[in-house]
Amino acid sequence: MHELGLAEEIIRVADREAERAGASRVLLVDITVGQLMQVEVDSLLFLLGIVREPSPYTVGTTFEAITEPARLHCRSCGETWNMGGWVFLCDSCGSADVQTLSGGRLEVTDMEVEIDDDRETEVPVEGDAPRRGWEPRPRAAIGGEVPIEGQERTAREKAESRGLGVGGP
Amino acid sequence: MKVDVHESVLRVNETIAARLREAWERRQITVVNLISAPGSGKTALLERTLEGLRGMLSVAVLVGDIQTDNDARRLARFGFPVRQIVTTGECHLEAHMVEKHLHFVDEPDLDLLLIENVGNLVCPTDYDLGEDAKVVLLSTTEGEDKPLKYPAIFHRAKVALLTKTDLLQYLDFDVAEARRNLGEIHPGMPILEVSARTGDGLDRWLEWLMVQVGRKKRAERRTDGGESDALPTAKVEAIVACTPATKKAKKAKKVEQQ
Ligand SMILES: Nc1nc2c(ncn2[C@@H]2O[C@H](COP(=O)(O)OP(=O)(O)OP(=O)(O)O)[C@@H](O)[C@H]2O)c(=O)[nH]1
Ligand SMILES: [Mg+2]
Ligand SMILES: [Zn+2]
Ligand SMILES: [Zn+2]
Repeated sequence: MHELGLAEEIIRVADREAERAGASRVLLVDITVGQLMQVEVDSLLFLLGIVREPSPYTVGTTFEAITEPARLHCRSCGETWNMGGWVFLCDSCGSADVQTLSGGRLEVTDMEVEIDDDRETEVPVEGDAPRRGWEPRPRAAIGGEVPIEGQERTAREKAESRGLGVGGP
Repeated sequence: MKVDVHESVLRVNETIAARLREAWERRQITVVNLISAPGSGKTALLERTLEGLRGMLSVAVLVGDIQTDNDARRLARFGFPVRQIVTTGECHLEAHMVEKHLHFVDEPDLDLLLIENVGNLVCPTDYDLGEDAKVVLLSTTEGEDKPLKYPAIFHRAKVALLTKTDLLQYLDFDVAEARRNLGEIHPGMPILEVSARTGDGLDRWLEWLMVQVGRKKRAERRTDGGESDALPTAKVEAIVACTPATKKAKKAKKVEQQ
């Protein structure tokens, strides 16, 4: 359900890292999705194909999702295993003292980028070169909002909040 | 060329949530994030909760919905500050929304912030709001296998509320089976049975809330250099015992037993 926002964030990270590395385009982005995260990998990959459009870096990029299994560890008997279903009782001794070792990751792990020097040996693809001064889209432009800190509350607002306040996201 | 990134896709949310958590830690404010499928009874529970906490604690409410301020209207009747966050399409609350709206309901002496998330069992699970506890609601009309279908939230929550228990007599909802399912996904998680309609079980829910508030204040005192408890257990119990909701619940029970 929230895969669109995640896809947009992945593109932002890829753009920023490409720019930082002085790359001309991103060939591959490896994404790690923990087994415990509420992410539909197929939707995410599909949406990445759509939202990469305005970015010159990620136009032809391949996105790959790697699942990080949830490793569970029993503190009673010392057993360690990969979670099958969502059962957090020990496989071997039945204990409830089970610790989660992994499976909560949701990250851009690494990328394969092409830097300008590499490009000379390749046939340039039309419309592939980054525009100069191109900026990754800010959060606000894609539906989210730029975080706001320490807003001053007016007396009127304060009075209103005693009853009912309504606001956008 | 290979570039190592290792950056969380939820980094922005995590950063803001950490900032909120730190501020609430400093101010000893307990924050609870209520999560359930649409219509499981979050607002109804909050109505009863606010009714019960009136005059006891300084409480504020943020309530998220995709559209309308109906829920905030229902909650504003109890004299506590309430703010509706209309997400216009977003199916969950994010930390930046909480940070943006917080000042509308914040008070210097705030004890407890209740956040009603958008009705959704999926993504609210992954979005930290800086809360002390996620509270998951499962209503008796949903089926005892709901935890198996949406396990993540039931695993992450600190307490589960089985709501609308007044309807049990009309349904074939199997409470023991629901408890068994929850026990596999989250062994040891407290499961409270409540009815916002009759008030049944509300005393235990209010007590749970009070204990969280008391613990947070105590924890803070201890790190400060060991003053006496801000809200000693005895006092918490006394407060819980005399809340209107508790009284009503007891009365309802008595009537039932007769
Ligand atoms: N019988 C009975 N009905 C309840 C109870 N709690 C809530 N309801 C009803 O269930 C419906 C939904 O309740 P809400 O409190 O609005 O549910 P919600 O989780 O806030 O819903 P959303 O905000 O839309 O996700 C309403 O018609 C309530 O009157 C209860 O304990 N017993
Ligand atoms: Mg509601
Ligand atoms: Zn074991
Ligand atoms: Zn969502």
